[in-house]
Amino acid sequence: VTLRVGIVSLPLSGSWDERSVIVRRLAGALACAADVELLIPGVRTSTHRDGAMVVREFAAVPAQPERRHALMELLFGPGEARNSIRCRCTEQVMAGAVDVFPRPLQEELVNVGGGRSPGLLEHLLATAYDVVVLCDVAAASTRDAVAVLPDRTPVILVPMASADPLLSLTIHDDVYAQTDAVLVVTEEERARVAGRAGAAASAVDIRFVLRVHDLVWRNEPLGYDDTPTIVIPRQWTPGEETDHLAQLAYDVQHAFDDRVRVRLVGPGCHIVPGEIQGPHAQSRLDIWRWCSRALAVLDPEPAKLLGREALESMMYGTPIVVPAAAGATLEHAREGSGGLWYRTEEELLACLEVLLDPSVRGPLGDQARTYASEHYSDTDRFIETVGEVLAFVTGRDAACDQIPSSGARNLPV
Amino acid sequence: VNASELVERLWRDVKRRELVEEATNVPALAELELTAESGTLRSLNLLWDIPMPTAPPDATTVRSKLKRRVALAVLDLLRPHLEAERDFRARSVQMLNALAANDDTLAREIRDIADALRLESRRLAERSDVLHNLLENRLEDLERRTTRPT
Repeated sequence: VTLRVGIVSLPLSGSWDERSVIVRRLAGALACAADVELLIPGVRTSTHRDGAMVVREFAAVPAQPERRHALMELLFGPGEARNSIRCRCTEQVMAGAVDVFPRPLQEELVNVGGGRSPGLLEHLLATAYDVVVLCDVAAASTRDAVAVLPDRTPVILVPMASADPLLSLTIHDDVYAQTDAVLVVTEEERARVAGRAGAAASAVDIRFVLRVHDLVWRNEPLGYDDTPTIVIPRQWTPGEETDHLAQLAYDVQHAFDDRVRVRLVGPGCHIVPGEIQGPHAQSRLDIWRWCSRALAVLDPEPAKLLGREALESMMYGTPIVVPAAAGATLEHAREGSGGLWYRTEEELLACLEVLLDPSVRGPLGDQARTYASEHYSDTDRFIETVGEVLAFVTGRDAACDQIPSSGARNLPV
Repeated sequence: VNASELVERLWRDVKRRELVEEATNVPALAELELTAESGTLRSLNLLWDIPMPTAPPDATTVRSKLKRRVALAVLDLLRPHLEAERDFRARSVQMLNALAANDDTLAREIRDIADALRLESRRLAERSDVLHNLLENRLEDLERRTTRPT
């Protein structure tokens, strides 16, 4: 009998949102062994089929960003202190502070993110899913689903534990306590959830599966010449993060004069003023064209959940340069020995300077390619690991009486 | 290439470079603001001139003719003073422009010297490291030779 799996997730967005990409990949892997239904708290109730899975959308309470902003300002002070792109120095302090918040306040902080949907909960109660997968531990839909699900229904949690201090709210312990398995995508994320109730023993690093295309080698990107180029890829939106990154890029450009070129590429990069603006590339293929030819890919964001752009660049043999305070991207650079990391701007310049030497850049790039290809591009292993977790939580595989060990680096149970 | 070792070495080099820069004691100079581009100087260059007053045009009535004669008399009286004043102001502004240009050149030269001093200190430190390593190697070599069994 084919298993029936329900995945509860926040609405999915484009390919630049790592959470959405993780949900899609996971749903794809689960669909290899089960009938998968994606349950999304959205705008209106609707059902449609997307490839191998059925997507059910339910009317839900929308997010209240202004209220959330006001609450955060009230609890943690000015927004500058929470700007994660500059540093993560306040993260620990804030994470420690949220422990003492009263429960109603914690619930309010979760609820302002939106996603509460009575229709979704009714559907969960009425449908006999063999397994329910809950994505994003901080989502209101996850909390609500855990509260209504019958005890006998196995639950897999994909916490998507990034550097958000609100993930330290004790209210989330209820969710961790009621899950049968926790799926993480990096060791850094595993370390984050390790201290939570029940999560330490059952966290499985399923890694991830990413693919790049050799087509990028056929054409050079628009506006590219043979000058060594440092590329910063991301989706660019107006705001302080973009201003900060643009200033950093200008500083690097100024320090290297004409020897090296800095280019900010990705959708929306036209909002960046001046010469560092790359072409307005929308597709990932265009971004890959830049990253594959770059001297190095600079990813200054310290709080990435997966570091997709860094991994894709590594697959092309391009070394990455990341902050020493980073999580996932630092893990990729350090474990794969495929990149360098820095604490100050002077150290960043020193890292980039040494990469101009082909005898350093070449081996680093090769190591980067090996690491990313071995750990993040094995589709069969990814599907197999997810299938083993499914077998474990449902108890259908008699041989599978413990958390699978075929994942890349699972801790002993 | 071991990335961790490489990063460790790079961080060490950056730290040592900072220490050398501290040791050279070259003060951090403020960002250069060119005096020649100052707003006040630009205003002075626009406002220094004194427009010379002129007499009313010749007319047919006695009253107008009288008025013109009086105006010409007053103008003749004041003209040398106004011209002298205009000349003084023109020279003053010229002098200020020249001083501003010199001031800017001096500021640039001071910064160039400070940069050169920092660079030279860094090179001296690097040279000292190289010589130190050579000396260490030489000593090791000598020690090996002297301890070799005969």
